[in-house]
Amino acid sequence: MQYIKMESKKHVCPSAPLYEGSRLLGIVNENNEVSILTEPMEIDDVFIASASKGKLPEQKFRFTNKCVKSGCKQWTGEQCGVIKRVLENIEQSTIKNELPECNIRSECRWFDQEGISACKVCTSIKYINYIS
Amino acid sequence: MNGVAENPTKSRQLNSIKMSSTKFTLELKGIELPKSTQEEISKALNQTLMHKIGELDLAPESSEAHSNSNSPFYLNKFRIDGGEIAKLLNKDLLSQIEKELKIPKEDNFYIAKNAIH
Ligand code: SF4
Repeated sequence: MQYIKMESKKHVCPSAPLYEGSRLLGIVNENNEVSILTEPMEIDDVFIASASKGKLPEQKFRFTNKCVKSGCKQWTGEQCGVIKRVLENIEQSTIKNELPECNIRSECRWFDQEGISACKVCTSIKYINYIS
Repeated sequence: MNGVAENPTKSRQLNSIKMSSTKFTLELKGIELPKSTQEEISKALNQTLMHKIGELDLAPESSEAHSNSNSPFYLNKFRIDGGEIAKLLNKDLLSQIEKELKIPKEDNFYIAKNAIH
């Protein structure tokens, strides 16, 4: 008899696009790093309206939402390809020693998968979606 | 020294957490407003905060990829797309990046600092 391995824990994506249910996780700062909010902020239509002016919101902010696994192009079938690829390619000098104070860690897909290594590069990661 | 080897890539020990914050406090000393007015003001302040945060655009312009692939380009952050469509505006640049990082064509791209000059 074959058993299908079920993942019981629900994970959140720390770099989700802005869509229904997304919460503000970080703000891209002057150093082109992401300042992570300790507690993700609920956003409303007022925020969405002003964030949608100019650049794409995902160029200026990071959002968190549920990890949609196979609904996401980054899901490899077993894990998130984003953080894996980032850790494989990142230049050592970009890796931080200090971790952001972050309350989604316990349910974060990246942390669950890669441990604190994910947190050490998290603030260097931006979501950019170019739509032609 | 502790003798237990720790796998650095999977470590969950959070020993160095950076804390920073921005605080806004507003207190009107000497007056007491009716509860409904307090709620109204508080709602308006929240809306202003939402609006102002939404307006933030602190990222330096120079961080963006050059749209002209003839010019040298320097990307010092990762380009991430957890969504459905990811296309660089400049197709030449995209193919150069894909070639350089050996990223499958249909896949999205993550570019390490200094990976390409
Ligand atoms: S697979 Fe990765 S990028 Fe996709 S939703 Fe999950 S955590 Fe986010």
